[in-house]
Amino acid sequence: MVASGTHSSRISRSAKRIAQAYGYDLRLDLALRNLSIMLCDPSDPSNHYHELIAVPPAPISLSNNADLSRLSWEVHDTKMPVEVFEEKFNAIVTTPRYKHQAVALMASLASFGLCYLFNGTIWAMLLVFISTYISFNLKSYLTQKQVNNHFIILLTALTASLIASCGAFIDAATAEVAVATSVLYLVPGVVFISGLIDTLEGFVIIGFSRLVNAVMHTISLALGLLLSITLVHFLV
Amino acid sequence: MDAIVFQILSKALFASVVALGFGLISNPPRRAIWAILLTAFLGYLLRAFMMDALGLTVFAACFCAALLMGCSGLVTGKLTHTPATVIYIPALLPMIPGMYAYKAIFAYLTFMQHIDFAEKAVYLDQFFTYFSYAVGILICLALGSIIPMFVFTKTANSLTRNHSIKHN
Repeated sequence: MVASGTHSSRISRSAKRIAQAYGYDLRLDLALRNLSIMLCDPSDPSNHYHELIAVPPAPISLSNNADLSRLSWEVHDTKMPVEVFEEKFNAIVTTPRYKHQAVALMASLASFGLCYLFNGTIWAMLLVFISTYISFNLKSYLTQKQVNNHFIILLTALTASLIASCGAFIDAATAEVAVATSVLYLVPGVVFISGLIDTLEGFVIIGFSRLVNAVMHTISLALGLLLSITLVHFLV
Repeated sequence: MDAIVFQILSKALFASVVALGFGLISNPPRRAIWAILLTAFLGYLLRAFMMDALGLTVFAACFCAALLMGCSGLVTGKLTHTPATVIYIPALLPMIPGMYAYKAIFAYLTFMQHIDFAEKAVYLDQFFTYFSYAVGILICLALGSIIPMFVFTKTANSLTRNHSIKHN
């Protein structure tokens, strides 16, 4: 759940709910890279188990967020055997994501629609569609090659905005809307909102870690855009 | 009048497509897709109505739209056993102030390129104006969508519970 971008109070509540269903108390210390858990027997506090768990890097998954939270309620309400719980847990975390090319096409269509909302011309909308499709695939390729995440965002934003800059051959307004829209699919909305909720709910350290991550992500995006605008001004 | 209604409705429809397309990147559950579409449609409809028909500021419109989306996230979350954040975060994405952010970056770049103090002052003013707009809208969107979760905390915390499951 930490890796999926779930906000901390939900993670804490869900984990405690599961522990209570099996008759234990759970204490949880959350951070972005690792989490510390301590399971205690309420009748004998000296009987406890402690582990520091590394959080594996994983892409944001709202599906895991929803389904694991739902599973925690199911455990709470049905007190299912641990083996059944384990089976259901593994089924959730190993559920395949949406097909990559379908997501790439839908994200491109979304950029197309966003360009319409910003009053872009049909040329700007088409350019944004193409730029999103190409840069989205580039982002996936770089992620597979395990390149630094901020560098991936910078390169993706640079590629998307450079392709969108071709609108300058049509007219300046087309290029402006196309470039502005082309990088918006990279905005870290989930991390930003989770960080804000964490901070407001008192999980200040992990909240600020998330917000700093979101700001760094946005700065990388802005740098890519800045670099592209500078290049286009230099070349055209 | 008909033209304004058509414009508002078409923008709201496109906003739903944007929310779904960008939302799919974050892998939302299939059962919540209709809720994301509906929440984005309602939110953008209110925002467009407040700005285009009532002439209100972008800040007021974004805040009220985000508030509506937060409430819609709670209601549709209850129906789909999905946390409200899973529904309203993708739905908020069409309202990201991209044009203001772009104009702020462009003004910053132009400010850096000029030497004349008077010209620099103009671009500095533009940079701060657009930057403040972008940040202000983001804050309105975030706060507006979060408020319903803090007002209806108990409901928000048990949205994923399926009450039809037999209790032991």
